[in-house]
Amino acid sequence: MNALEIKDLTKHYPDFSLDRLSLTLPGGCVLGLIGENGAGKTTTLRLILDMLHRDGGSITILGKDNRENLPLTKQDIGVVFDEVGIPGCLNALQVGKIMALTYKNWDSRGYQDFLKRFSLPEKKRFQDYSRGMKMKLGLAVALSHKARLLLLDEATSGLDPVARDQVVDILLDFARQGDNAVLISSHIVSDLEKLCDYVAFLHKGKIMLYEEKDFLLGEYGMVHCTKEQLDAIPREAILHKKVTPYSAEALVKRSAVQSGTQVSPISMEDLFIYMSKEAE
Amino acid sequence: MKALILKDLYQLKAYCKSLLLIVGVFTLVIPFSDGNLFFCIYPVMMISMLPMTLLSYDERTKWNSYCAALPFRRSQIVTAKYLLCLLLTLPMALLVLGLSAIRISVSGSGQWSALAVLAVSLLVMSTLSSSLSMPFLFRFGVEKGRLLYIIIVCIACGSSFAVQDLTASVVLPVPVLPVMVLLCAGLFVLSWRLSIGMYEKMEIR
Repeated sequence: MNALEIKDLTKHYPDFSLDRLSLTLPGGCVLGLIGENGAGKTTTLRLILDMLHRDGGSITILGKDNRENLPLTKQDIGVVFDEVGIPGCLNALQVGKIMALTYKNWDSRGYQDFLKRFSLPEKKRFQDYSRGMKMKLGLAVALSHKARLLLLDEATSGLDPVARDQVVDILLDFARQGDNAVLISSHIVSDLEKLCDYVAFLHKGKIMLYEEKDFLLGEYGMVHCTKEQLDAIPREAILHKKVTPYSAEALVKRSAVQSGTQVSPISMEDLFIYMSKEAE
Repeated sequence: MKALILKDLYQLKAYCKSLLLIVGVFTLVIPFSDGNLFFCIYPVMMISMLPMTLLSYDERTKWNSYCAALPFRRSQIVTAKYLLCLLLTLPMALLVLGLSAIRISVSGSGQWSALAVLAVSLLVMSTLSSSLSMPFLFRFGVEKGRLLYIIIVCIACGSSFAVQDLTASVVLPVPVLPVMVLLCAGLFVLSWRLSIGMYEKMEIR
């Protein structure tokens, strides 16, 4: 079963529109939503949770329409926002007591384990935590009620590299359990490269690309050559090019270039940057 | 919904200690206040303000966004704040009434009809401000809603002096008191339903 299906999702604001966004997140997979600030990542997540009212399209979460008894569906969803949202005066123990009354499947022992694993002081107030600790507490809550779907909005931003690596490992563990799925939005592409099975590039409210990560990294690459060599590459193979008087480089589809052309691998981050430039 | 109320109580304990201290001092003054209604109404007014203060904290800490992502209905989020209002103000009003009754018994003034008027005044004061301001807070956010609340407090404090004059000179016909109680209760329920309707339509960013 698909954990999440979004079809033609549309939301209009005076200065921004999310335009017929379609995505599918199969169970057991991690989907990374990559986009620059203001691309519509947070809007998408809030539409999924029906915090914002969509103007068109449909959203199905764990097989149910997201407007159909959403509080029940939310029992199976773990959410971490950029600013987490836990009141500053609460400590981790108090948060645990509140969540025990919130989630039917709250796992107190699991929560305690996460607090220990993340080295989170139980009686320190949330407002006195570092940004990384705040994010980890949000994750501890999201992972302690047997959620089947995690929705994470910039959950790795602000974390130091060691903490980010730890979070990535925990999310991979989560996704490997049964049919659990993760939708994570970020503009830190390197984290998503490690984590994701599927990747969606979002630019100015539109999906530029939605593919399996391994396919993307296999299909796209860079060609560094002379201007004359570039001219010999079929136009349909070139997604973005940069020509100087001395050399040329181009983002290409491997499947569309002639055999024998030297195509070097591209990182997810570079792929996103080039595609965004092309979409401008 | 228990979770929402528990969270509010934790916040009250952490943030509102000084306010609760002031309320305590005013309450202690009541037996010695010579029937001054200001000392009776002020603590109840302050207590009735707490749910609105908590809404402001919710907005500032982004709890309102987080809460909307948790498995609560919007109606439960609104109802928890109205319940908290009743849980805080009604015991406070009863305490003030009890202390006023002690003052009347000890002084031997026999102003028992004034106690009935005080009871109704407290009910009006404790529910009216919430009833009027909550729908605005849920619809327009705390900043604009609070402005309205300040206006209401000014009117209420001013009218407390007028009510004091009334209790000295006019005895309200007995049927008026239950009617006012019913009106307050009706307004409170109407406000609650209105807030739910407004919050369900609101977009939470």
